[in-house]
Amino acid sequence: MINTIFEILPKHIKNIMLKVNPRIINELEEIRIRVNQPIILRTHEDEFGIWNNGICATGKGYIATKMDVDGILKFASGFSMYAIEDELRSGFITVAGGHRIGVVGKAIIDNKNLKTITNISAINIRIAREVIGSANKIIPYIHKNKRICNTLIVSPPKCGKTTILRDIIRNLSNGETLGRSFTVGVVDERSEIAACYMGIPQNDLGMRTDVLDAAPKAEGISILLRSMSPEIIAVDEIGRDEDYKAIFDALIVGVSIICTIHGNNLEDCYNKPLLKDMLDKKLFEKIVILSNRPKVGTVNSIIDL
Amino acid sequence: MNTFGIILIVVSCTMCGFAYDMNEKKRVLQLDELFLGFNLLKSEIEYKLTPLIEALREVAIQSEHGVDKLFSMYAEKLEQKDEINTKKMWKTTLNEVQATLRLKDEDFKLLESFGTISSHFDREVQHNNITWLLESLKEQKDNANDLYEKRNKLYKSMGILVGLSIVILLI
Repeated sequence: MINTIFEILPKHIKNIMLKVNPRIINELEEIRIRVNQPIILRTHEDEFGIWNNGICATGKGYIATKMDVDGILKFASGFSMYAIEDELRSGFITVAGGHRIGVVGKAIIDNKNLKTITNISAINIRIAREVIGSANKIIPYIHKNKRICNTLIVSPPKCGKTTILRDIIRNLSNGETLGRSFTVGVVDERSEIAACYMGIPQNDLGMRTDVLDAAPKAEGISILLRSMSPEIIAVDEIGRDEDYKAIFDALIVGVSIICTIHGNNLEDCYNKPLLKDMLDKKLFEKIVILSNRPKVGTVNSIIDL
Repeated sequence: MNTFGIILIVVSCTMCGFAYDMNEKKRVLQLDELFLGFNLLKSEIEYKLTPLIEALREVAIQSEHGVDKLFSMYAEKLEQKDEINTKKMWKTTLNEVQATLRLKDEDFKLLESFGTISSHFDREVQHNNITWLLESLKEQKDNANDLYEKRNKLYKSMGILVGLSIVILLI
């Protein structure tokens, strides 16, 4: 999977990265590239600069140029900046392998709306990893009376909620842990779960999974309900009012919902008015709280509502 | 022996006339194909938001008369990711296919503008850029076609006439 990251790096940076210790590459979480600043590799516990022979102290590493940043964006978009204009507006693009490239630069405002971001000055490549089997222990807890409970996965950023959600989808779709499979519909608004390329999932989401790529969650859920008759709908990072309303529509027609949300604990969920209302009505049955201590993807607790 | 020489001169001059005519005809066909190809590319880019490399491949499949090579070679160059500058890569591709196409210098000059298509422009600028290229290509192809319609018989008969003139002069 990390190879897809190397493919979007300019040749000279790629050559340096190939000399970095494979152990560090395997633990890599982020690559931060800022114009006129050293490139920084970040693992869960440490950070490094890069130099000719691999890694070095952060401040002494290779200094990225504007050309490097432009090159990465061109390679990442397949020389098709027009194709990522909408994604760029949300501040990040998703590349093959599901890796997310966050960008900052000069925002262009048109009619009080963000039109696009130009003069991109810094990018953050967040490495996505499929961790097959990471959800094996969670599955039995979200299964009750031969159906999957409506489940909310809560975690702060970088605690592995997308990875866990992806593995739950794959597991349920293939019927691995429960011995019974489900038809799963996925609305992958940010292309992070399935990492679709030209509409085809690059990540393994199981044989009974239908992916609606790049669609807004609210519209995507209605489309899936109408067209693919899923038993389970999975979405990542809900947050807008229309997301809650669409989930509510799906819940009342009897489809199981598995979704993720940013937050540290259950209290954070109760601080969101629409979500609080749904929790009060017991529309969600299980809340899975994740953390990154001692490691990413640690299940802190599974709460029954 | 004299008769054989006369026949040889007339036949070779006639063939030169036909070859010149064929050359001009190919230019018209290739400009036609380029116009269709860029139109298809415009649709792929604007309506389907197909990444440029895939869009070029699609256009290459549907093009002929040597124009397919231009699109497929550019797609190949982009895929290699050896270079960031698309304008430079497009120009290199044009230089590489120049010998296989029957286009004139003015046609290649026009095509060069396509190199900026994948630079850091928004969709609106991309649209204007490719629309301008299509309009210019249409004008170029119409002019080439008109010229060919007017002169194709001339090219063919000119060969025979030149051949006969040489023979008369020699006799």
